[in-house]
Amino acid sequence: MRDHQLAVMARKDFDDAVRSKAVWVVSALFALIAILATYRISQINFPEGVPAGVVPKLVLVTLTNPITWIVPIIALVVGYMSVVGERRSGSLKLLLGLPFERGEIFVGKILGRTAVIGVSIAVGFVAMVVMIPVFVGLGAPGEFFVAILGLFVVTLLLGAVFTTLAVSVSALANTRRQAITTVFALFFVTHVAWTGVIQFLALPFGGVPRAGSGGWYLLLSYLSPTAAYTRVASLVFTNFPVPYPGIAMDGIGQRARIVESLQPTPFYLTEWFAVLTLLAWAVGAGLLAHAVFRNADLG
Amino acid sequence: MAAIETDALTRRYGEVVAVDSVDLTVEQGEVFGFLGPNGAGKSTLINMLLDYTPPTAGQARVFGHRTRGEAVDIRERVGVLPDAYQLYERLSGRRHLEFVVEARQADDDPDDVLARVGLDPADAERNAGDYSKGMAQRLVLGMALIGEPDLLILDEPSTGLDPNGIRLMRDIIREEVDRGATVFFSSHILGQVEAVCDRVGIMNEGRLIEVASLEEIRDAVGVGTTLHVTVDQQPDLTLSDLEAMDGVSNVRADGPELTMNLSDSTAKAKVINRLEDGGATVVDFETAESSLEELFAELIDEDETEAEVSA
Repeated sequence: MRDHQLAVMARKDFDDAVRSKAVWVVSALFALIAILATYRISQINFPEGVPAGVVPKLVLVTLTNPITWIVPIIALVVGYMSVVGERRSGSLKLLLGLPFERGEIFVGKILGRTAVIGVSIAVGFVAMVVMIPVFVGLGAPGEFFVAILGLFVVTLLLGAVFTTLAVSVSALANTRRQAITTVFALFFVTHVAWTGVIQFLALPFGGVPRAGSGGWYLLLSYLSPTAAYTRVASLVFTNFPVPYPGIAMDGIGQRARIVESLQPTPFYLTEWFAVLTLLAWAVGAGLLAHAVFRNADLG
Repeated sequence: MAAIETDALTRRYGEVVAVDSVDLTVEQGEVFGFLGPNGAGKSTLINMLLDYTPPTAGQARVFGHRTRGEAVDIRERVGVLPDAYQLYERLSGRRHLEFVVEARQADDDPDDVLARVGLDPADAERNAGDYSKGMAQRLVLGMALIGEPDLLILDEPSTGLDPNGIRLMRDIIREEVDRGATVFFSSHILGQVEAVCDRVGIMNEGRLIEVASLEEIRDAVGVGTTLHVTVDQQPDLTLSDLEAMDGVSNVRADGPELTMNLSDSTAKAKVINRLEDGGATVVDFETAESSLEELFAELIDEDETEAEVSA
């Protein structure tokens, strides 16, 4: 793949996708959710003696949960039509009449759409940066800005992963309907139902394990890309009172107890393993889709 | 090295054979008209030349590059006006041209391209989603011309164009050939091919049934100008006397009316002189150019009869 061709392709795709109304609707939704969540937390009465810098960070920690919903949805909305839409409309024939390899078209689209998601995420984060000082104050501004910047970067990674998943689905699909059904199923399985599925799978082995064992259960739980994101996000919140932020999907206590009982922390429960998990989703989907797209009949 | 060379190129879709073992060579510098009714397999063959569609058997080369595996080398040298495309409706016409200039690393000025294909610079600022079919066709033709490609592949280029647009298309094709380009264009309308092509290939039901110059095809099928003559009385000569004349063939008589095919338009006066020398007076005559439509219908008819016989 040639850098120049990738850049040309990505820029075209960005220009095209960023003008889509759907992108702006979901971005506005993201900003709105950020504002509402911030407001809700500001209404909580914190006990005396909570350090000033903790509350704004607690807002960020709490926001990681809505982010695991809204960012994948934005990415899937922005990406699911990226290839199949051009294929069905015939504009792909214009692209393939130009000196692009199919791989350059595919990767260029992932880059272009990731940039669109980046803009969308930035809109949401700007809303947070504005609203958090208004609703809860900043406490320690330096710490807060480092934390929100860190969360922004980690969230970009989540956006990039789901964009790659969406563009991959789009490259694999033969029809728009297939693409939309598949991204919906993907979101449902990887986010909505993942924990439930893991719990179901655990049933024959005595259900959700108790403290002292069950590393395998947490391993499976954190293989979902959104759960992996919450693990990566905890890189940002070091020395924070909540030991495992964002893992409250099936009872924070139970998981935390398992983690605590597994000392030292096994490698597959580290944040860096979660980073690898996220990358593996993107790379795996991308390689699969590229292998099929390379030889697909696009006539 | 030929511009296009296919070797038993075949594409099947399940039971249907869209392109059936086509051997075709298009030399550099020629204008090749690719004819056939809708559904004959023209677009599928073009799709294989550009590697949109992989062949199920056989192979194709463009400027010596294999379509499978060397598609980018081919695309570097080919400008394409595809069939059934759609523009990026949220991007302006100008942005489309800029994109092609960047992708080809060419130095064309979008304004020159707009002028060449007759698009108003003000229209170029509008989103392509608002374009009429004719405007879209002009824009995509302009995109195909960027970077001086060595081969232009135009799939049904006259679609959506008004007569001015069609004339412009022809002029551009001639300019491109004068520059040294090869032009390969498909059409189901023969009149458009006739005006610009050196050679034509005719597809029907996936098979390439004829490749020849237009004259060769006319001669082979025995059509050209048809002459109808009405005489007042039986002249003193036979039908075979007329048929023996240069450029005259297939003479038929129906009472006082004679019909014959002329391959040479100067034969008309000679026929009339001969009839009057024979003692008849020509009371009426008319000539009709046999259209390529007829010719085409005839070739396809022949092809289908042969297919039935061999089946």
